[in-house]
Amino acid sequence: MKDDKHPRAFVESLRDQTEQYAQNLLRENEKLRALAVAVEMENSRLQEEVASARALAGEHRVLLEERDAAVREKAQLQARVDALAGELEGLRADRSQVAGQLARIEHESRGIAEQYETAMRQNSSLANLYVSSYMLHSSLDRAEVLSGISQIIINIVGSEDYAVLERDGEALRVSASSGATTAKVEAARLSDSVAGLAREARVRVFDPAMEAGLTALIPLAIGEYVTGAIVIFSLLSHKPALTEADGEIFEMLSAHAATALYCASLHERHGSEVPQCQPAARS
Amino acid sequence: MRKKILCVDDSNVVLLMERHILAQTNYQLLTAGTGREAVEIAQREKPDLILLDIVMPVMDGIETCRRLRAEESTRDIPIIMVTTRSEAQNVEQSYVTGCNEYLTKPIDSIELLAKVKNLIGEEL
Repeated sequence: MKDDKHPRAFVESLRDQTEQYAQNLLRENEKLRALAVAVEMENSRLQEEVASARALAGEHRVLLEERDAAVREKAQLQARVDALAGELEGLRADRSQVAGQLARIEHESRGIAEQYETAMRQNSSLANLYVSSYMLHSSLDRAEVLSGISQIIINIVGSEDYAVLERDGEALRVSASSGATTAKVEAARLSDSVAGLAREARVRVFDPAMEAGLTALIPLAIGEYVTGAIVIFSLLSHKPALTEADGEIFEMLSAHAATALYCASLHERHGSEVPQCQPAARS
Repeated sequence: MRKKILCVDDSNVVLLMERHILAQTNYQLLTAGTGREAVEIAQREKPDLILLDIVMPVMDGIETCRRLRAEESTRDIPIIMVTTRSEAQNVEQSYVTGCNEYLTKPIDSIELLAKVKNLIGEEL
């Protein structure tokens, strides 16, 4: 046996083998350590991945919850939209109804305004008649009655171009006039047509375009008896035409002016014989 | 206190008409038959508005308006000229003298009430 022969060599060989084995063990140990490190790293990485996955899962859950909340909110909003749409329809119907009521009220308001204006005109017309009547019958003084007639023609009818003619026998004489030239008044006084028209005891309104120089002829009449006439030649420049209210004034003048003048004339002649018509004595 | 309106006209017809028209409101009405009387009443009563006729004997409406505007106490009282004269020169002269409004006769009640209301407000 060689080993037996060479124990030293054997020991050395054994030592080399042992040493090699130790070396191998150290290398294996190194490998194992490296593997352990790698495993540790892999473990860490996996833990991170797990943590990340958990985070993602949490986030996903939150997102799911948010989505559910959004879905619920959408449903609520849809319900609200539906409610508002219903409300809007209702409001549209109300608006339409209110618009109809407004139109009706506006129509009524216009009607009332028209009625008010008509009432005002009628009131004004009645006031004019009252004032005219008052002016004609508030005095027995002939000059005051004539002044009253003039004021009515100027301020109520709107003419400063007229003449008041009264019968003197079969002729007409001028009792008052304004604006008109003497020639024009004389022409009217002597006119057969004026006398003829006055005798008809009917108020005549002329179309100035047709009847040159005459606008209206108002007979002064007590019943059938004609005592004179008021001749209106023209109207004030800002008064375009006679109105219905002027016609009423003319009718009133026709009857009441004649009576007032007749009474004033009677009073002038015989007033002194009537004690009640004497001025009150002053103490 | 009720607002006062002074109506100035030498014609009783016009004064009566103005009284009837303004009777629909609650203004207190004063009247004057001449320009001189109008100035005196205006100084004493301090009306809120004056309706002033232009054509009047002795002192016409233009002169009356001039005097009212010259007086410290009556200077600012609104004046409506009421007249049969509608010619441009009369209107112009009235405004130059100091009137605030111009109204032609025959008086239109709606127009008069509108002008009065416009100048001094409503008094129902």
